[in-house]
Amino acid sequence: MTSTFGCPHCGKPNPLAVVFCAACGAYLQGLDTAELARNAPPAVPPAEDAPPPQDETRKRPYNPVPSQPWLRPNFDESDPQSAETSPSPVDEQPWLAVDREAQDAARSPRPAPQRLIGGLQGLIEPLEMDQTLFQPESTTPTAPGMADLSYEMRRELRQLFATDLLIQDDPSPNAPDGGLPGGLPGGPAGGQSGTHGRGLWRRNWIYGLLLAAILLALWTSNAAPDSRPHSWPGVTAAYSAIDSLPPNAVVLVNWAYDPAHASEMDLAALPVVEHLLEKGARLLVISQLPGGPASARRLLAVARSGASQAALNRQLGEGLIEGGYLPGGVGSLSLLGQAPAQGLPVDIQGRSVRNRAAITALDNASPALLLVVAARSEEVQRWIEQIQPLNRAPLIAVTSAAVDPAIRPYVDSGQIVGLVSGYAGAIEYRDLLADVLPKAGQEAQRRHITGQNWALAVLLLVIAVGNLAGLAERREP
Amino acid sequence: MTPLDSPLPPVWESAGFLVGFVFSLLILSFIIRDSWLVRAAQYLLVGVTLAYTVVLVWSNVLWPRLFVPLLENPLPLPDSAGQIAPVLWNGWLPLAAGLILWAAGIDYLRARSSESPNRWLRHLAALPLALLVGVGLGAGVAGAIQGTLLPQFRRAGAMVQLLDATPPLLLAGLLTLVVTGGALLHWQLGTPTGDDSRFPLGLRPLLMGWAWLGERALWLAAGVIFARLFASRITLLIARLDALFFSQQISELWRWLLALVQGG
Repeated sequence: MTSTFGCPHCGKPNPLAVVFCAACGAYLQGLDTAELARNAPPAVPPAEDAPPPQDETRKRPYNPVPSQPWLRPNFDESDPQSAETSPSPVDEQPWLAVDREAQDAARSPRPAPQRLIGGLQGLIEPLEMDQTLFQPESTTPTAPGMADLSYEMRRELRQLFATDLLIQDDPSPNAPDGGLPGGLPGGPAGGQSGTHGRGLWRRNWIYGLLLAAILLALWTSNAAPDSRPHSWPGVTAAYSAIDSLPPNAVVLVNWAYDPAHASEMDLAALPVVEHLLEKGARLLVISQLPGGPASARRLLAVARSGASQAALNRQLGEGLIEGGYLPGGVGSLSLLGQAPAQGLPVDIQGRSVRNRAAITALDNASPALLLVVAARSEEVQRWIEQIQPLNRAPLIAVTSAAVDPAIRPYVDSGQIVGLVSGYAGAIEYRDLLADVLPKAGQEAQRRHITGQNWALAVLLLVIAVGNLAGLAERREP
Repeated sequence: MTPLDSPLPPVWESAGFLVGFVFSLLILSFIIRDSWLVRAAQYLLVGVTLAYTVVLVWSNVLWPRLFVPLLENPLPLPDSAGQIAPVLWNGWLPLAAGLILWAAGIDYLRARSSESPNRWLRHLAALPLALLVGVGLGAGVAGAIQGTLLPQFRRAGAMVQLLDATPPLLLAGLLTLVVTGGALLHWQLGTPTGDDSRFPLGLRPLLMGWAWLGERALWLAAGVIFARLFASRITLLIARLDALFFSQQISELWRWLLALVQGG
């Protein structure tokens, strides 16, 4: 007995007891999956001269859930029942009906297809969405698009969009493992297409090359770097802002990265946190990521072990409050900006923080500094938008290098007083601290930078070779 | 011992590292081919992450911030000044809203249909949900206006003041204004058709051209976002490989494996 059935939406095989399609996310519960498995249509439409199916009587129509009429094979055809019962997007969203009559006139030659909205389904049919939403108001005929294709062909295209890029040996439609109608290579019936490629056409070759380059760089990067990283504006300002903090200043810290981003973020955050500890700052650390408190605890322990005893002794009372996980997104940030003691009632161990020094210091005064240590730009933006307007404290951001371009405008506008990003920012901050990494740290830093450079070089090579190959292929007769 | 010192014995840290090592190898085996090993590691990671989040939310949020205050002072009796204890708003109300959302969610998972008989439950759950979404959107939009939109426009406007702006600043300011305006215009107009009668004839080419530019800028931004994402994933891969082959712990692991192979 067949244990899988093809998704009516994209054609991808799924287990019988599945709720959502593994490929396109269509909601499949309620379908007669056993019947679908028995009557599974060929993944590639049969050729025009192919004989019709032998036993048409076995193919009984199945009834998907009413909210997903596009799962019907004959969805393209007019369906009086669905026309009566299924509201159009404009009916459901009256704000779309700016010029209803003109839109109806434009659509009159053929019924507009139902938009696929809901979860992932809307993401894989951009052509159809675009045509339905932005229907031109003129009556000039539109260029043929996805809605003009047959149901089978649309399903093939959906599967193509939802599948990883595959490249065949022989992209011709007559290839033995099949091709899409219209000469599109890589049809789902190819099945094994993409696994028999040649040279760089094989996806695994690209992965392997990338891996080999990174490993090679990691193993051979023992030589001292012969150049310094680029110096970005904002690092010196961050150093100055922290260096000018008075002893026992309260710093509100948002720890917005989890262990997945620790490699780069640890490197960037460590010198900044060490500097704060050397200045005797009292840290109030919170995180809105579930993995954030653990990352903060680990790095703070490392920084504390490296801090001088004299600096730790300068702190009056408790130098660190671990606020732990702060749920609630934007809403809780507003409360944290206005009244930290209310927004943060207990620490990570469940102890009340209401009467602790770092919190009570914020009853009548703003924190001396806001520090956001984030792997995503949104976390920095949230604090700029929700916290800083309320307490007007200067803000320093420590981010990954990838986030830097999105945050840079806030540095230029003065909303962020200092920005330390990526390896380059960390190295420059270390230089400002007149501190040197231990030997193991230097080597790790060198390996990371060299590996990153080699990986990017391989990617550039792949892009260049791919483009050249594509260009040469196009010129062939 | 400081609060940051791990209470776990060192053997647990070694065990955690070994588990991470095995999981790294399982997931990296995707390079060879997609197999059940890869899938099993992925599913386990997702499951463990979810379980960790549930435990964290319970131990760090629900228990200390909701249930402990409710257990300590369950009755919202007015105090001597006639003020009702905050436990009503901070405790019982969130608890009731949460329970309604839970019930509606479970009903939805069970019924999986819009024709569920418990439509009243969903309508009831719409109230706390609307409150959540409304507060989030309200705070988000207000914050975006006061924290990003206005300051950035002020900055861009200041940069294009011709009298005291240096050429690079002037160019950057103009570019910011043009691209931002073009992107907003593109979202408003959609794909330019050339015959939009909503605008005066004289302005039509300018607006269409501006929207065209905004569309290209959006595509460029999408490319930059993808490149950033890719670069961060490369960084993660490098970190994992570095941890596997070069960190102090893995050196010990290799020594341990070597001793095992050599029978020592």
